[in-house]
Amino acid sequence: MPDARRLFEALVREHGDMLTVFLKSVLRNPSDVDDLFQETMVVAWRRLDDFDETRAFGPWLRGIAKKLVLAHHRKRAGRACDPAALEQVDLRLAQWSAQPGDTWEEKLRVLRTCVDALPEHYRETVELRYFHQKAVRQVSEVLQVSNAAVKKRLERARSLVLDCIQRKLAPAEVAP
Amino acid sequence: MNESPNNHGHVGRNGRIGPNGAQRGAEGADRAPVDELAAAPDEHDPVRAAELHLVDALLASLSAEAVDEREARIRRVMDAVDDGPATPGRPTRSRRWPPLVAVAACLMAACMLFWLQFSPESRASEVLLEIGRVSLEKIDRVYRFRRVMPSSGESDQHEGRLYLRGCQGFVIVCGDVVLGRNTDEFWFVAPDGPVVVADNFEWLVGHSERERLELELLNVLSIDSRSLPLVQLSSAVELMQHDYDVTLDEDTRHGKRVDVLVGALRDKAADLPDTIRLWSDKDSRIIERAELRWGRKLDRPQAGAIVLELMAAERVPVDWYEHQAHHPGDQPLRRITSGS
Repeated sequence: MPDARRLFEALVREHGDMLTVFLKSVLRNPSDVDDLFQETMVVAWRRLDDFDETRAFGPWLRGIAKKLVLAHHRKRAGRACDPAALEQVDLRLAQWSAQPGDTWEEKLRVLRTCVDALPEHYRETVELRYFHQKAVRQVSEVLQVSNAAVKKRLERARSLVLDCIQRKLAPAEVAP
Repeated sequence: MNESPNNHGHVGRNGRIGPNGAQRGAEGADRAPVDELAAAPDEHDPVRAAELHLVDALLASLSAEAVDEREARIRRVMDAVDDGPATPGRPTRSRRWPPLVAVAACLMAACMLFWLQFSPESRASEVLLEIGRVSLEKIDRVYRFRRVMPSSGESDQHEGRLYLRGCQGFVIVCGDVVLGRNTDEFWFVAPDGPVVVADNFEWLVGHSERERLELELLNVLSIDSRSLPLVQLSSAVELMQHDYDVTLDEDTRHGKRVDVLVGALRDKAADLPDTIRLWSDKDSRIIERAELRWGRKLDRPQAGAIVLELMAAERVPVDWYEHQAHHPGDQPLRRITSGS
């Protein structure tokens, strides 16, 4: 049914970034992220008839992903995934989804604001590492600091960004 | 709707840090040196750790690379959808193939299976799987550990002993310092200074007294944020399964033939060893020697190799993978968490 496929592709495009972020938050291996992304979407496609159209698609998709992540951790010998941590990531992503904007980038405007508000030496480290995709060693060369200092700055920057996000997202209402 | 506002009970770092407190932290960061900021230890908090991973993922999602990755993922999903049931929730209608076509398909499948079973790639994957299974066993194995510099071909000062217990723990004894991991924590013990404990290897690398174990060594071991160090050989095997083209070879060690798995990194830009070689006993599948070699690159002047050689079995204390087994107990403890 071409219409169902087209509709589903639109949903994949709309929620793909959110799902990727969710999986990257709870899985260490990039290959696992790719595998579980595909698995989640394929399960969603197969169960699309079960989806209650009066509800939001994002939480339903994350619900499938959560089950798959927990099953994945059970199968693998790695460290177990803390269900409370999984729930917290889920809740936080619900807040991001409720942010104004049509695209994921627009919804992440608050994140950009928080990065812009970082002290200079943290901000430039974050921009080089994340927005210019430089390896830690490359960042250390550009900034003329040690690799350890770069890693420490990134840690502190992420921590400050998280505090900033928590302040800014706290009063946000969640979209239906 | 599912995403109810009432679900936000964790907002504000479980209520421990309110908006004002966080504001002070951000302002203070302008003035305080990084070490000073890092000095305050925090409680172990998996929820905050998860949120920090989320921040990492959110930041990564803003890169141009993420857009390319997204398109590739969407393409793969839609290809899978096209290959699967024509409509959601309904299995594809089974086709009635003409008998001749069915027989030909069966013959072809049998040939494929035969070829797959005995093809070199399949054999390498099979051996790698067996090695991976054995590397997960909770049995203590001891390796001599050394780092080889590319220029001289000789070991540098990083030479020591590595104890491994499956995927759950390792201990590196290097001179008078010890670096280790139990199931959930990484730790660092030096004769002077505090015992440093972190639940993330990257945090430990960032905070430990690195000059004692040398900066480069820890950098070599830390392959990426949130990853386990490669000396945890079960992690190296797992990486080989996902990110390396693996071939199987043979070698002679101590008068007997052993299998050698050679993994070549697919994405040369990744911050991982260019090649991983594992020498394994044909029967026990225990890794007898491992060689992790980083290529020399402009941004990686410290390239070299880490070589592990299996030593005779050694009985270690039950608590060997806990930091308490490596210091008298009166040393101060510094616990590093995401907030510290």
